[in-house]
Amino acid sequence: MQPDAPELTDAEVIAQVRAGDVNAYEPLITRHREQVLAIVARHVPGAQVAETAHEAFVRAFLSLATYRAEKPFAHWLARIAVRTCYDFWRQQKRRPETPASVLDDDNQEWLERAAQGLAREKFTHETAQREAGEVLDWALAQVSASDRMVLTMLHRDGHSVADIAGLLGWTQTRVKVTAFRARRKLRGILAGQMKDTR
Amino acid sequence: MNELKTKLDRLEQALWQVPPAAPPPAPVPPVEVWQANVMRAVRLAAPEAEPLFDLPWLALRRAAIAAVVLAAGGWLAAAIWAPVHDHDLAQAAWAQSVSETWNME
Repeated sequence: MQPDAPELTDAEVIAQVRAGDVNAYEPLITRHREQVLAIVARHVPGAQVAETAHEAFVRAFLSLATYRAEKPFAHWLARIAVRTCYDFWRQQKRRPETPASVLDDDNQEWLERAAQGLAREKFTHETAQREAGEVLDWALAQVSASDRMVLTMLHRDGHSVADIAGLLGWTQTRVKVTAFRARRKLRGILAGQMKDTR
Repeated sequence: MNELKTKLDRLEQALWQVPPAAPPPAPVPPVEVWQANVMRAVRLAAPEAEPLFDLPWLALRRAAIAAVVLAAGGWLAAAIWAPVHDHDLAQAAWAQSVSETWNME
């Protein structure tokens, strides 16, 4: 019985794919699918995760010629995954048939309680978390794709401005300006809703 | 005004504590089927990508893009500079003709 062949590195696998062996791409998917699925799941609705991750891997394959081995493949792939999520929201925004979500009575009650500082003590409660998630989804549905990506990466995921700039392929100044404007927009949306519910 | 600001601060703070939606426990379709679908799409896309993997071709493409960018930059610079240059020449000719006229007199 022969000993197992040593596992090829990402760079070696990429070299095989570039040499014309398309099937050599599969180990890269196996190695990095969890990472890509996790990134995508943070940014797009659950029902769209599989399709968006699929799209990210196909894009990565088509862009493999531009990959330079100076940085790990996982970093390069993460950038493609994040940009695929960004493009998902850009496409969603372009679709006129996308229904505008509305807040139900429970969501509005949560919003009022949170504004009064009363929601925190029962925030860990599953129902309250769901309501908060729905309010966040509702608010983010009203901002642009770039605003949504920057806000969620900065405030929810805790990425630094430099990380976001790297992942989206933007300058740090652009990230800062977008974050500032997006936050102001989001506060305007929330303020409008609070006035409506008074 | 301050009351609204305080309310918005509290609301924002509460909203950003929402954990991101957890990934579905069992991916639909199962991950092996999903991966097989990805590979099928990759194989279909392969003819499109194949020329890109040819490194000399890639270098040639980069050189062609650089040449086009340089040519466009040169054309733009010429378009901006030429009227200024023409104007300078016209002004010099006019000055010379004035000077010649005075000298003649």
